[in-house]
Amino acid sequence: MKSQLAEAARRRLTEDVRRMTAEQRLAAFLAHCQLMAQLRSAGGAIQHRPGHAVPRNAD
Amino acid sequence: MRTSAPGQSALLMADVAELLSKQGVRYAVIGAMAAAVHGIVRASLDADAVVALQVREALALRQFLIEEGYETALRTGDVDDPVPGLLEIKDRHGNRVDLLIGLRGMDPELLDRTRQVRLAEAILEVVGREDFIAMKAFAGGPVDLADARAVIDLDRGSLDLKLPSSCRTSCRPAQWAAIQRAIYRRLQPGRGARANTIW
Repeated sequence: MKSQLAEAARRRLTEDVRRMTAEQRLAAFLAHCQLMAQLRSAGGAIQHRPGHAVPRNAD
Repeated sequence: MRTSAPGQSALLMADVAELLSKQGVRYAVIGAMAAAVHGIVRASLDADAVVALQVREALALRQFLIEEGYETALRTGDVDDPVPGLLEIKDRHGNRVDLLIGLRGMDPELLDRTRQVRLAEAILEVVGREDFIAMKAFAGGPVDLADARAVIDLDRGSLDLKLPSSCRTSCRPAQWAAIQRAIYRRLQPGRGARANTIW
């Protein structure tokens, strides 16, 4: 089932992206990658904490 | 070197791009970085570019990059692999750039149609929008096709349909048909695109 709200949100997001310059998009990409790398590193640190049980289906 | 932490493969690409220019090697940034430039911002652990080199020429480039302090590996594809060779470049933070040493079926004029985008004081040659769409349609996976459609939807009015028609000569018939199938529905009359124009 299609959500009107989700569709409208997607359209607004597309509009926002359209207004950005190529340089701004590339900068956003770099920031996103850096955040994801930090999140990945933080996730690894939690998993390796002594006594921390990781669920078998954690992925 | 511009990188200082993981997650900065785009900055490693900026370094590599400057070195490629210094060596007179033509290239085009593709993959997730090009997707971002054309409107799909999604994180990736690596950065990709296609370079206008033969595999044997890539050996000299590899040596140059080693002397510049990068960790590199050169891999060659099978005879039927669309990528004849791949030069991996890594820094000490685990950032990675993959340079595709040619791409079978690629329109060589793609390198004349790049778009220059500045990142961290470097000027990057990024694959053009229409070529990006064609490459995604060419790859043909579900995410590739979704990316191609998203880039079309972002600005249908400015899409230059004449440019990618030159890649038709370098496509096999099945590949050309796949590109048309992927794009056709997005360009039907009444959906905001020009009528009767198709690559």
